[in-house]
Amino acid sequence: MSVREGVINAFHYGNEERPDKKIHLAVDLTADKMIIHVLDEGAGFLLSDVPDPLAEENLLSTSGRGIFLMRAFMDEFNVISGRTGGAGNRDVKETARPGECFAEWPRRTRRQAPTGSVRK
Amino acid sequence: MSLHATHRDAGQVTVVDLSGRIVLGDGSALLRKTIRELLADQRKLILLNLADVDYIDSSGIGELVSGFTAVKNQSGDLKLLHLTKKVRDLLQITKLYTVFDVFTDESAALRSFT
Repeated sequence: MSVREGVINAFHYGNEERPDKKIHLAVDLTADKMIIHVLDEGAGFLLSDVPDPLAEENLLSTSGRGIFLMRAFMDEFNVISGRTGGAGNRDVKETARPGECFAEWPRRTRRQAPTGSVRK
Repeated sequence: MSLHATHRDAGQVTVVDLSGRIVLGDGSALLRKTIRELLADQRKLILLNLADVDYIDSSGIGELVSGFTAVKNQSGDLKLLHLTKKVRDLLQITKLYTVFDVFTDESAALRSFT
């Protein structure tokens, strides 16, 4: 669920569905964790800019639940900067405790997210 | 597995039997098309049977909400039947379980439209 939502976000909001931009997906498996990285080539974003989908005014929004679902299924979730200026996603699943995960997302630091393209 | 949708009439209510995955792409698009076609045909009382929907992503959830508001905007009603545990859990954590009328019995669901 979280990987899927991460890739959808990277494709739709990060790369703005442009076929010339890539999404990088990597998995690190350690003794106790599975770390999943998703990196896009978009402008990046601030987690604090993402609207709360549980807020009354957003409950009937037709979008904006992707990151919420990722966070719901992870132990930790962060946004970190991508080396190319885009946003990346780092998910960690603690394999020693099945079902518990944490994620880190790259934080954008170079530019503001484009208007109308707030990461969901 | 892609999404499949068939519908049947139960009096004034149209029951839409869905099976597969409601996800970004064809799944969400088919759900949107199905609901819009029913509304165009003046079928405004819709019961979505999700018994065989085994996966739904944020796009699919958005499409359920979009269909719900589209039906409501035409003074109709859209309700849900037979949620799988995964779908029920998703609707609960997104607080949408309280937005939709959800049923586990089709007869009771049909009666609720009257």
